[in-house]
Amino acid sequence: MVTIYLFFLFVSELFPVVAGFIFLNKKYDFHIQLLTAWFLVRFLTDTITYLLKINFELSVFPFYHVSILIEGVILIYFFVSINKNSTYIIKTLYLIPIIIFLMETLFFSSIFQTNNLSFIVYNCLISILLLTLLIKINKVDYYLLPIVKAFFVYHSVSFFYSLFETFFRINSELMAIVYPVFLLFILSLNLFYTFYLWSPRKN
Amino acid sequence: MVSTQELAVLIITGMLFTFFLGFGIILFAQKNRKIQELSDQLLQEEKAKNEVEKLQVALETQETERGHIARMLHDDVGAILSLAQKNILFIQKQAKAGVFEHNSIEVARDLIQESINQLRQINKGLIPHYLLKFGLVKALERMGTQKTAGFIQSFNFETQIPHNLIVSEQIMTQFFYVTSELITNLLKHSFPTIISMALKLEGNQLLLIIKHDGIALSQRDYVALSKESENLGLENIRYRLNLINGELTFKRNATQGEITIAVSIENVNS
Repeated sequence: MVTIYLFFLFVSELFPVVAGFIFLNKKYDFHIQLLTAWFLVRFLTDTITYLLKINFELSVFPFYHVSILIEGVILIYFFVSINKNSTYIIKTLYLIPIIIFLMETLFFSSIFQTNNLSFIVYNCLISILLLTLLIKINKVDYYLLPIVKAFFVYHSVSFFYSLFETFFRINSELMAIVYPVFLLFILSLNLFYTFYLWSPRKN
Repeated sequence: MVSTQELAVLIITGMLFTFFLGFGIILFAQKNRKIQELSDQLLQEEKAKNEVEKLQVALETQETERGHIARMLHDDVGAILSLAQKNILFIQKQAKAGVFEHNSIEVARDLIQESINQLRQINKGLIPHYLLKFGLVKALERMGTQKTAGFIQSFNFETQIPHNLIVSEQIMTQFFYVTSELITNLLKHSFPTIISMALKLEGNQLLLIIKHDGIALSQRDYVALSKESENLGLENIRYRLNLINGELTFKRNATQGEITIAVSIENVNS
């Protein structure tokens, strides 16, 4: 069962990356470039950690720590680039994932342990940022609206999921029930984004 | 104690709830966007409508003015020139027959002179003749005295600008009309009893300070009025000031109001 989940996860994560590269090859778009980078980071992290775990039984948490940091910075960059009148204060948002990364790896936990805090903060922060974009919806370019909406819904659900991640790590039975549902959301986002880039409207 | 299944159901329900909540927020945001777009559209339409109305008024005024000029040219100058032409034709006819009509030449000359006089009269009505002939200082003083006579108790005009100062015709004309419009507005809306005007030169800035004891506007009032009012007079003032890069400042204190028109006599929009 886990193999099927992983298969779906990897394949669905690969789709947006491929679609993103094809799209960018045809027509350059800065926002799509950022989002493609975000999907690429996720895909590489999941692939590398899976291979390392299977082949070498190494700790994969350093990859998760770094991955969540990069994902956070990319999506904050995405937010700042959409929010054209970004003030100096808004630009200091970049510091949040960096500070959380340093705090979690140096003080609260270790780079070789779980990244619960950064995962929760990342999801919460991105949900709030995307929510502010939806509130100031007129500022968002029309073509980016579906992506902002999809990312907002995904990160909101992901935030709720991240609150219970500690339970999943100690209770595999709970994980086995909840993870497929969460995987559905991941698959939906990946397929939605792929479809969005493949859609004839964009071409 | 909560069982694993119950906890799983709770978490999944929570996730689904978050999902639907997210959707709700999106729908709400979309609705807001539509409302915003509609109100923007309405605002644009209203603005466009106002612009059209203003344009119509301007065109109508222009048409009326053209009609007026055409009538004057036709009735006065045209008629006299026709007579002069007739006279010249008669002289030509007589000349072919070998007769020299001295009297008719004099009549034609008088008629042409009359038409020149008529043209001058029409010309006087079209441009501020007094302004061009006697200069800005005299024209402002005359205009202020004439407009305020019988309406207020005292009108005072002071000037400190050098006699040899040369101001371009464009600045003079626009400056004069802006001042004239402001004085008219003061008399119509502020009900002053005393008005004083001081014209001076500070550096390369030509300043006209109008002080009065009527109902005064502050700069904020003026800005608000400019935004809200569809008054053609205000539009004209802004338009004319823009042509000469002029600035208009309103001040209000306990006892009087002060309006300052400042124009750089070097930089003018052509």
